Amino acid sequence: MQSKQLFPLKIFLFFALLIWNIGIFSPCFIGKENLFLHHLLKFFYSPVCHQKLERSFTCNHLQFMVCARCMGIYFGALLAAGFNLLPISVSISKRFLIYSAIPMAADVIMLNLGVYQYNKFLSFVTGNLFGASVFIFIFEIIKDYFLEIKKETSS
Amino acid sequence: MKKYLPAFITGFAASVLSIVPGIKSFSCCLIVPGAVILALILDQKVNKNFERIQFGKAIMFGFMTGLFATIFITAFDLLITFITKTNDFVEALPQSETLIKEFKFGPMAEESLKLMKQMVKEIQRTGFSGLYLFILFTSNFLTNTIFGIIGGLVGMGLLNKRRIED
Repeated sequence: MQSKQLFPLKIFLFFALLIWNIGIFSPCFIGKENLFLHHLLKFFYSPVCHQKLERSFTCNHLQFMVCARCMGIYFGALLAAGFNLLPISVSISKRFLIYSAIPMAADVIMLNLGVYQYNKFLSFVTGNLFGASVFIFIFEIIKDYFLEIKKETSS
Repeated sequence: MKKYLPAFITGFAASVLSIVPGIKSFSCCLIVPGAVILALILDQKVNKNFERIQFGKAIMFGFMTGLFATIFITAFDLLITFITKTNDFVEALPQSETLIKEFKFGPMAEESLKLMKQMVKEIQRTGFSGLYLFILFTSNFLTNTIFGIIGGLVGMGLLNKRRIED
């Protein structure tokens, strides 16, 4: 019953993230001729990422809208949103959210200390884990709020 | 307006932080959500109202903080562009030009480049471009309000949880 009530919200979040991710992956399907649209989209995503060329994946010789780490975060959130549509309840604690940020934070720290060179795939994977955890955590907050309200109205 | 004074203050603070180069690239999308959480805490303290934060209020605070941050970010960017007659967009254009020449993108790309060059010329000559202002405001508005609303929801969850624990 509870999952039925929350299903429209799950669908909304999934499609919102899908649109956001389509924008990020747009260099693969807008074609390299439409450079103005590419720049327009890049400008649109600029407030959320530094967009450094050497730290981003490319497609059709065009850079993706965000860096590998940010792409990992958003793609991870999309995967979690897709997984959330299944009738399986997954919940995480605040502590788990912090644990999931550790690989990404370690990557950033080691990179800044010069322990190793920037690796796009490593950034993508660590970002993925964090993005999925953040999505589940936020969804949990929304779910708890609705459950609390329902409890109050029924009592 | 008085109701959203905390959102106004933290939105302004977020815009100041987001033009500092080092912090800007480090924080990505953390500044505005953080500002919304701070706005919700400020609102509770100012009004001495520690009741459960409602869903609508969290979303509205997120939206308003994002809106205020957008207005100030756009204003600061415009002012800096007007004074220096350059910005990130102007500096990124040579990179695109090299790309087009290197990979032979075709006539449509050349046309796109012409349009962008026109915009850059306008900025370099007068320090202002209407199209640039429109794109800047729209992109900041969309991203800041989205991340502001996310911040509002996270803040609502954290503060409501703290209230239950207390």
